[in-house]
Amino acid sequence: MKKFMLRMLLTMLMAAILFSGVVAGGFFTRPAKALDLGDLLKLGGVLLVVSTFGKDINKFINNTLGQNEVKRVGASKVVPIFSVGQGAYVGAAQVVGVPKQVKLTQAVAAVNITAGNLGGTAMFPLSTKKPGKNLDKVSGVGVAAVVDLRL
Amino acid sequence: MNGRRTIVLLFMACGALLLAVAMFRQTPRPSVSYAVQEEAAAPAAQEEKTKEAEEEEWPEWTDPKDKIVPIFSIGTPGVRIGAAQVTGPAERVEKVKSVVQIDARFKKAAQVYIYVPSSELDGMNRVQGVAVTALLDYKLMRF
Repeated sequence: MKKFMLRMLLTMLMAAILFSGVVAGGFFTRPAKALDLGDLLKLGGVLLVVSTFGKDINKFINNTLGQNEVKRVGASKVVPIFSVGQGAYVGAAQVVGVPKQVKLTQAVAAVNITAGNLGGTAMFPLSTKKPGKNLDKVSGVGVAAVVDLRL
Repeated sequence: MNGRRTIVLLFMACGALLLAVAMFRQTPRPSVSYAVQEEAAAPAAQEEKTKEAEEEEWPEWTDPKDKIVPIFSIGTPGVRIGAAQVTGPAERVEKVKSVVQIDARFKKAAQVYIYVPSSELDGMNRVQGVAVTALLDYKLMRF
């Protein structure tokens, strides 16, 4: 019961952080901008939510999309995703693939490119959460679902 | 007043009786032979379950493979068609014939993408354990 209450409190706190991030982002939007306070709050909130509730989100996605086999074998995981190209996005991505490689995956970097009616996306599952430090691409792992927010 | 009380009491008694009958029907009558049967059946069922679990064949999840397949996207931005690279265990990747992408964008503030690798070109029969790493598409229609 105590654990449940603590979990609920944590969820509400994270929701508040996310909401304040979204509100602050909305109020202080500029045409061309660097990361502001709203973005930082959004980034921190998303990372916190993904790292805390990653397993629950993963279970939810597996149940919703009917990925029962993957659920049993343990070949799926929810990690943070950073997308660049058409604006910057941060969110949660479900990675699926070879279980050993899925365990290694810590984050996903995505690049979106659009030229007229043509569009392209490349997703790189990474074994590190720190961008630029050691970008080790994990092979045998792909992305099955993405939910992200614009920064 | 007394008449109303009697009617309520009668209703309550009828309800209790119906409930008791329903419960009596559901619960098996305790008898020595049933108890013995139940005890004997429990380990047998458990053994059967473990046997089934052992017999189920899981693919070799150690050998990753890539493949390019057609992708069909539908969602908020419109309808798009193109090619996608799928990755996963070799045995599963071979089964993939196409990918269906479902996406939704909420006023450029948030976006949701779901990739469903399918074993059919004209349908959606999900292949599990396979996912998308890259895609290139062309917009056919805009909503």
